[in-house]
Amino acid sequence: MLLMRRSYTLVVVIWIAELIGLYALQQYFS
Amino acid sequence: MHPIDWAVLIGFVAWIVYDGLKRTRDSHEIEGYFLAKRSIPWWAAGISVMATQLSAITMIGTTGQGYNDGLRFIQFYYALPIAMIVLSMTLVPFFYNSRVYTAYEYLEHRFDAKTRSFTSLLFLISRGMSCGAIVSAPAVVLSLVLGWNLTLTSLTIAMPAVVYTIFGGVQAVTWTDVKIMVIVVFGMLALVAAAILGFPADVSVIDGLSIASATGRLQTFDFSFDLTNQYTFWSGTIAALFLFCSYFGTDQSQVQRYLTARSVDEASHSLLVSAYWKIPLQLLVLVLGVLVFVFYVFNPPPLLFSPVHAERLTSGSDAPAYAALQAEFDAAFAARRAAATELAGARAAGDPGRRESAARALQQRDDAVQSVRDRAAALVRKSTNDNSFTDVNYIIPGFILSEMPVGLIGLLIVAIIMAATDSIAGELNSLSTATVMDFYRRHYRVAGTDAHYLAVSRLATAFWGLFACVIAVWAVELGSLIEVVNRFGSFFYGSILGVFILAVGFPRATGNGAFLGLVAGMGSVGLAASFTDLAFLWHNVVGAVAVVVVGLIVSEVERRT
Repeated sequence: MLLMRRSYTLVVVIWIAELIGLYALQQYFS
Repeated sequence: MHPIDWAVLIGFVAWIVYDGLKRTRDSHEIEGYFLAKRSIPWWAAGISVMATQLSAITMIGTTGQGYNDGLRFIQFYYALPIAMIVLSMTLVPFFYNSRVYTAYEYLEHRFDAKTRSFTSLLFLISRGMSCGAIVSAPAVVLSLVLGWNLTLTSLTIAMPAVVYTIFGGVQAVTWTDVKIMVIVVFGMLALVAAAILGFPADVSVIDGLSIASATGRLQTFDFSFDLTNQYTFWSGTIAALFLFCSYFGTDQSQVQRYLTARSVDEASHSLLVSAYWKIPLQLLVLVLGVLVFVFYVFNPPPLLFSPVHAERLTSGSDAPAYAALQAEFDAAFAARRAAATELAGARAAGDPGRRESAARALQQRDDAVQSVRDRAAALVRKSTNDNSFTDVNYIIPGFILSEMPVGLIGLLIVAIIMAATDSIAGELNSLSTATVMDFYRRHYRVAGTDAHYLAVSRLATAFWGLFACVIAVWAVELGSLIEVVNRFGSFFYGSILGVFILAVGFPRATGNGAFLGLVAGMGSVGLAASFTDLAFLWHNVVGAVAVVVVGLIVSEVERRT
């Protein structure tokens, strides 16, 4: 269960990083 | 195609089928055939989940969408990682611990047989028809681009999947998915490299992305709250959450992939593979389309990427109109290339004012090019009476054939064909499972031997394979019918999710409540689709909410009476 919780946390962290990265991509080139 | 490309194509298809056929271990009993005796490692099950969705339509249609529209479509996937977490914490443990073969079987454990049979039947109808579309869409494009016979192309796509799925069951499907995924990703990376290498020497990748941005192709966020537009941040995070929960959590073609995992945690982890990789993979697909667009900003593209349609217009009665469009297109292309070169120069000079005016000019020049292309496509529709014609699907096949070296062309055609093959294999395996477990074993022959069910399962796989081939071959004639069925399918995606929400989240919900809720949910979506402009993604929210509300009311009334 602890391992699953860590995995979920990692998914959320990577998800937020992806969204920030995609937003940065849009803003950098606009 | 060059003989070397043919050798690559035939060699790869033969290898995939041979390797699939070798994986018949554990496929001599029903649990092995449908669930690989729950022995598949989480990463392979996870890749299989992704491969089933990544069809040839993604490779040619979504890349084409990237070329025309840019990255906007990526917003569709923003909710996917969250959906995977929700499912891992809710439905996956229920399915896995219930030791079910199909998602719908769980509904009988929780509600009753009619809810199970109805949801499974809806799955069979919509997935059976979509199998045909998965084959026919790339078959039509490849047969026109390569000059192949349509029926033979359809069979080349479908038959390998039918053969290895009949004999190897879910093990063959899963391990073939893994290999094909590697080929597909390698193929897309090769295309990205080829597009970048085709930029002029003084235009860098950063310049290329600036050019794409100036034409609106790097928009990854649209915060406008417009319920009629499905490519917005809100549609992608709220409405798509319902779609992905429904698709990954209640569609047998997905559920079966992770039921093969070794434990509940491994099943959950296999879903998290999509949570980690789906957005990057989809970004790769769309960026490929964007980079091919930049490539064709500097290298003359054909007015129409479909060579057959261009040829017909050049030699038919519309030839003068097409020649005029071609002349206009050549001038518009030259003007756009000059504007793009000016933008790259302005970036190098570091002059913001010059850069801004160059970007504005480029946007106008690109609009002019698009306008000519749109009129050429309209001319095709008029001259062929085919209102569904779109040139988008021919862009990437055209780029492959004209720009890639011999050998890689064969590999990339393999990647497109195999992307369809592995999707259809996953669908066939799940259609066969639902047919046998939810209908044959449940209603017709309850106490058969394993060998008997195995034989029936192979027959069911063959039947659905044949059905997919027939639908694919007749897809052009059945176009409107397939559209109706797909539309019908979109009516119940959210509604089926609503039934599972009732099952897992509301202990007071009854079987009649779930069944009547499902009917009411589908009716609500039908009304929303007929009388409002609500974007398709929001139908999932309407369906799920209607099922839960009506289901709870009916359950409560039933309990009190």
